[in-house]
Amino acid sequence: MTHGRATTVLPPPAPPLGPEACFIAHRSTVCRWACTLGADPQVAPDIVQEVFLRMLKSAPTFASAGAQLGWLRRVTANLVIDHRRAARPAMRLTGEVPQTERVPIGADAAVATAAMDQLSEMQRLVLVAKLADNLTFAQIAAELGVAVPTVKTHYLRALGAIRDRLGVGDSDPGLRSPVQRGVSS
Amino acid sequence: MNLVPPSRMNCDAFLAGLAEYLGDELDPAAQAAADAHLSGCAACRSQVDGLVRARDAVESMVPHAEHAEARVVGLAMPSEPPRLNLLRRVARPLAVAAGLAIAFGLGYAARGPAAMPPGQPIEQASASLTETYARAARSAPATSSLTWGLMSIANR
Repeated sequence: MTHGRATTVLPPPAPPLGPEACFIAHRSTVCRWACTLGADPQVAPDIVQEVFLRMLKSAPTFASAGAQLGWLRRVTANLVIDHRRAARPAMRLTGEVPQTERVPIGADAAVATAAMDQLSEMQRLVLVAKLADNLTFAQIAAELGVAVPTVKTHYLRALGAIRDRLGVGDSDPGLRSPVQRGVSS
Repeated sequence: MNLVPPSRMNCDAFLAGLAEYLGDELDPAAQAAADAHLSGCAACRSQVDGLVRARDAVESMVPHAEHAEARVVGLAMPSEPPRLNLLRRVARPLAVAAGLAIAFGLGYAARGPAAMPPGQPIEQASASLTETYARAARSAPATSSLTWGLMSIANR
């Protein structure tokens, strides 16, 4: 007996890569994430090494290649912030920007980089997935294991925080509330 | 996402699709509707301009990564630093202790008559050994415990 309902068989998720293959496949991607999150290009290769070294040390197990990529993105985001925070006391003491930070970037990018430190981990992950990897909100939601509206909320709040640091735009609460109403967290 | 036609779009409708607008996920019709709304609504435009500038600031970091990416391609897979496991941590002191024990045993064996030069009196050989060990203790204080053991045998 057949039922009218058609069943959709989803393809199985791609298996995760071994550490070496993962390094070769994703080292450039990790580097791009690091720079998008505000790491200096001089420091970014060190961060890439550190990310994969952490993978070797902790030997995490992944259910799929997507989960592996999500782990890499999360570790990269945390390491970039750690590096930036570690560099900050030196800047305060000497009053000058450390050598590794002296990279010509636009004024807005410099402010955005500083604002990254204030974002939540989820906001940073969404931002880098959207702007560095050009993933859709649905893809990001699937990777992070959250609802699509949640991803949109994080995206808008991250951009809003950077906008506030830039000191531009209308931050009238009357206009903000529909944004937050439109996308629940 | 399909937004309402531009003629009927109000601020709430526009802002409900703001994430898709900023994320370039609107279909062409919805994009046109949003653009039409923005052209006639200063409040929404002001809101969006700041967010677009913030987005562009972050996006400007992406091409910035190209220089670093070129360097990363030449990187080798980092190797895990060697970690001493429990066996190795125990084996090292055990090997040192075994070495000491062997040296101690050899020293004890050297005391026997067979190890002495023929015709040399035992008192003379013992004094010679004591002097040798004392010199060794002075030159290498780190091995003084071994030397002490050997001297105690020689002094018997």
